[in-house]
Amino acid sequence: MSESDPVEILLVEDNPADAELALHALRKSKVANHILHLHDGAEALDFMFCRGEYANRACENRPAIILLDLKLPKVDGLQVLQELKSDPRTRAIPVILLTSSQEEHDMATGYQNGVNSYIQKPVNFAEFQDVVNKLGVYWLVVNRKPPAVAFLEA
Amino acid sequence: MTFQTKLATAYSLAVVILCAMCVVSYCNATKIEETRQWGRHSSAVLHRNEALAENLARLEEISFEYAGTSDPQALASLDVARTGALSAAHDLRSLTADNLSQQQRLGLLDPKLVRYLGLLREAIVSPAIATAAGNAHAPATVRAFLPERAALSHDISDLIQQINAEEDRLSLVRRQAIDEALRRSSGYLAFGYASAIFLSVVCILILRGEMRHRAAIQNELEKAQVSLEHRVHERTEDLRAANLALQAQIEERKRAERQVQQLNASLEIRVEERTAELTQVVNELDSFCYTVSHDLRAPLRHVDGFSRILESEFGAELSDEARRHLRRIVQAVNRMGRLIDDLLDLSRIGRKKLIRRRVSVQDLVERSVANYRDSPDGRGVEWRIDPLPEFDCDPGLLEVVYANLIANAVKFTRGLPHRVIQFGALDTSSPATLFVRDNGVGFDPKYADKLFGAFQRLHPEDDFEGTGIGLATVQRIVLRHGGSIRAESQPGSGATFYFTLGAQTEGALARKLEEVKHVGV
Repeated sequence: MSESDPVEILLVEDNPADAELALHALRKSKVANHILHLHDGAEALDFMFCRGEYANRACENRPAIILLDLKLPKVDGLQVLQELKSDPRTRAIPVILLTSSQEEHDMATGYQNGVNSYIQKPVNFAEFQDVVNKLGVYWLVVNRKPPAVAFLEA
Repeated sequence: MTFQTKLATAYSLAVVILCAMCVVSYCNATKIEETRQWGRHSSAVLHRNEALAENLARLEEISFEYAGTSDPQALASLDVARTGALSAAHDLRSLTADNLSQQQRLGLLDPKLVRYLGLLREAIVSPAIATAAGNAHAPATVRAFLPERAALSHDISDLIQQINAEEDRLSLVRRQAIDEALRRSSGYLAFGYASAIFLSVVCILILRGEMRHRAAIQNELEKAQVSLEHRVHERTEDLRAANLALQAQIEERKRAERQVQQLNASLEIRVEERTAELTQVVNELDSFCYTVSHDLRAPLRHVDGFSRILESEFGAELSDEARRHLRRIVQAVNRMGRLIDDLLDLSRIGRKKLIRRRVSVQDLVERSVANYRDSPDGRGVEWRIDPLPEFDCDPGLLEVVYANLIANAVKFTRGLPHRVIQFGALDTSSPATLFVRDNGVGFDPKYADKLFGAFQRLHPEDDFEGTGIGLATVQRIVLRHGGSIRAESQPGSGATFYFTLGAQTEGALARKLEEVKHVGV
């Protein structure tokens, strides 16, 4: 596994403990080789739209799924979601909100902005591990990735 | 008899009497005048009679005088007297044309008078002729006629006397008639005056009576007027006083109204302020809940996660005691996670808007029970569902109520050989009281009041898991519906939870209004 490998899962999470647990669970599930962890919304958008620090990366390498936290520094999760879903270059990428919020409002706003899945992190790590396993299997194995034409401008 | 009739009668009577007096007086006067006329007539007759007598006497005298002197002068006087006597006799005849007895006398008189005058002339003329012719015998011839003349003169005088007497008698009769008429007239006048005076007195009396009566009435009227004016004055004063009192009241009302308006205005301002404050508090509460749900759970998740990783990946390197401690940590974390979840549920129910609908409690219970029928928890439970009514309530919240009560019943009947959970409604009350009954371990009724408090538990955690928030949630939902909840139990003999969901008619009415609104929109 190297940095040049295409990113399969993009994890956007500011809390290091949460990030470590999520990465731990993802690695244990063994569904992906390359998981990229970014710490805030602005960085995530820079990466996705190949700008700033990521201006030189191969932009056609898109992550298979994006795991997004809601509460993020600089640009928050919902805004990141809105920008991704309103841009044809990123609209087709499945975005999964992975959050500890069980507020109806957050859930509703997420779905209104086109989120593909909304998952509440259970307190119990065993349950979390189970959820992450299912998530990985479903989105990376069961589900067919969007074809390249899905990213062309209409 | 009225005053007017009396007066009219008296006046009419007076007028009639006066008229009668006038007529009578007039008649009397006419009669007197007529009688007087007759009196004057009689005087004329007497006068002419006297003239006759005088002329005759004169004739006698003249004839004797002539006989002595044969004066031609005497002869002329004799003719005058003779003419006067004849004229008087003629006048008498015409004057007494209406009197038969006088006419008879005159009838007797006339030939005698003619004869007498003839005799007289003869006596005069003969001597005169003789004298003139120188005849000496003349006086003797005259004397030869003297006895006849004397007899005639006597008869004539007698007749004249008779005529005189007759006229005198008539005059007397007429004077008497005049006297009689005058007497009668005086009597009538006296009677008329007396009557007039009497009637005048009567009229005066009537008028005086009437005037007195009127004066009395006027007096009464004046008194009445005075008393009326007094009363009017009093009433006016009363009214003025009442009016003033009313004005004062109106002023008071207006003032009170202004005060109420001011109070209302200030109240509205305060309500607005409170609403703003409350809105702020609710918003703060919301953000607090968000923080709790997001931030407070995160560290728990981390503790749990890393503990489990520690246990699963480094377990081999740990002692048994260390692993036991790790498990305790995980248990505590999980319990805290449940507590936070339940608390959030409780708070969310408190803030959630209540939307009443017609709900079939029967269907709702059937659905809630269905979740348990095939689950390990619900194994061996005998579900008894009595006929349940329809209710006006929030279906989501009622589902939470039944979910909690069923979970409770399932929990406290666990391990019993025969588990019965019953659902029913008491139709003895209106609206009906719903109940959930189990034959589980029950509880001590002296702790019944603690049952619905948050975090209140009547059983040890090791025997029955739970946070002690479920029944608090149930109570909050029931109270928000305007209903009430209570529990009955004896240790070992099961528990029954009774609850109501507030006035149903209002809910129905509100729903109807809501429907109407929708139809209107």
